[in-house]
Amino acid sequence: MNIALLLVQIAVVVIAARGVGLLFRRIGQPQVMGEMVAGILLGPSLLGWVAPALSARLFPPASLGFLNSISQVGLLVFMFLVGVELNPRLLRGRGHTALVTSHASIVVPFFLGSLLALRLYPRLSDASVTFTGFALFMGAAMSVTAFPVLARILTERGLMRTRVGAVAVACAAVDDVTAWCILAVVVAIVRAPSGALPVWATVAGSAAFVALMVLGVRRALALLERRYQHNGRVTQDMLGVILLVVLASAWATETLGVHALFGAFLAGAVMPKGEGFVHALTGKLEDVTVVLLLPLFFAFTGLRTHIGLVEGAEMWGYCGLIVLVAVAGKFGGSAVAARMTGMSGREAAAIGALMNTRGLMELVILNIGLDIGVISPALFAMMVLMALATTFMTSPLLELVYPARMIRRAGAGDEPEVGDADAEEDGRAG
Amino acid sequence: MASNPRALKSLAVYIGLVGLPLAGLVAILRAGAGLQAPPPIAGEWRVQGGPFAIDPDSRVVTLSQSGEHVDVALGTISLRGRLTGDSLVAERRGMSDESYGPCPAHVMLRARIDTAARPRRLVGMVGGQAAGCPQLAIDAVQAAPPPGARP
Repeated sequence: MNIALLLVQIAVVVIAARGVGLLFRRIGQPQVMGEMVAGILLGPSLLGWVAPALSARLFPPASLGFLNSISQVGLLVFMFLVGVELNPRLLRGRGHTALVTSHASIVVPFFLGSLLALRLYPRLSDASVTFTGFALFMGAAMSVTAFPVLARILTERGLMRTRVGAVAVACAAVDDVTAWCILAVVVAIVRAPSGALPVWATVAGSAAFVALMVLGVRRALALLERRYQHNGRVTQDMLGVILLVVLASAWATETLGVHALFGAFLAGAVMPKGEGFVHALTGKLEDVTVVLLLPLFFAFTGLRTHIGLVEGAEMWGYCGLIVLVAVAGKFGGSAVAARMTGMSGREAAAIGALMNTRGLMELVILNIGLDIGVISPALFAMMVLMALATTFMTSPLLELVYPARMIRRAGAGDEPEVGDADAEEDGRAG
Repeated sequence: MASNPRALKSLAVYIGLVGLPLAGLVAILRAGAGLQAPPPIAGEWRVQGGPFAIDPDSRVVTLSQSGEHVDVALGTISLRGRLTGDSLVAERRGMSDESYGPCPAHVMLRARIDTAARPRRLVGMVGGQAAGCPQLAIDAVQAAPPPGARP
């Protein structure tokens, strides 16, 4: 391993991520949007295209394994944090609207993604992947919502205390959990032919493991919260125990044939949800993960995104179709469900715009798809473009359908939540 | 009782927006089961026989596949093309710094993939279309995928 090169790579990635992130913040976009774009710019789609010699010197293929390993550790911690911030209380008392909207916002894009698979499978996949695996993956990839970035947008716009905010955050929480469960099944199906375990063993083992985490480990972890209340802080010993739980859970799901990231997410989901404990825990892990490690994941994603593979009218036509289906499924499905269950037209459109945010979560799922071979490099590039497009359109679309004056009129957005100023400055991945 | 009409409406919406798409999903999975995707040809293919004149230092043809769309690396020359059934046609378009003998711009590969053979074979011709450009026979077999790679 060439440590000097690795350090230069990390420095270049962090500079690019912060720089492009800053530019995007200036135009009203979330920081994470700029970081995602920075990753693409460092890959073959721009740097490798305009300066191939520099690109080859900076990111030689043999060195990418180290970069990937570090980014995967960052991703594990990030998925853990996403799980930590998921609070079941968000789902309580939201009524018919949240129930119908959350389920429709998963099922409608899932259906449309699978329908699109009928067209794409013979053209952009190959016979090493079954249609079932391909269609289910496309459905899962279409039904993702980036819970963290959605929560951040709600906070920044003062929407958290409005009905729109309450429904959107409940729906996104349901979507996140559901999408990851569906993805776990899809990965098990796709990996089954070459995996060590048959599908039934993966599914049964995963169900048993989830039960163990929810019924057993969660109770044991409650001791940590009591200790936190006694000490007033998350000590290094406590953090060590928590990280061991994350690693063990990630190892277990990977061994069961699902994916390590699912285990990390599950470990976060079963953590105690006391506000102080969550705040202290995320405070310990979040900054290094978001500023240093996640940009490496974006860069690694960018390095495997060859937008040049999307060539010609036919391929760009497929790409446009993917974006159209993604927006129709997520925005359309959520908005129609919200409207039909009693929200106003503008509120329903705002829900649709928010649920259409895919952000980093989409990139995580797409990378898994590329790793296990269920999507091809060209389809990966198209889906990355879709993730960028749907994330980019969220803020302007929201401003269009539910402008700030309407939020003020809703009577709940006049006092931003604590930490908003920091959020504006820091940005947040999602 | 006052909430019953709303509950009924929600139920109807739920069936329409959740139940029907789920039923549709089952139909899609059934309909798609009969679809054929192109054979998987991505990976390294080892050239058989004597030195490979396109690039004597390399005896490997690398294929990158996205369904029907295939990128071919013949040593230092990159081609892009399409797989139709078992027929692969790829070409280098436009001018490039790299040259292939007297054929500076246009190089084309026409090959057939023998998917029944184990390992799979790629047999065809590669060369320029301009007068004087040599046409070269190519015969390669698919290298075993690395452990853990998909079949």
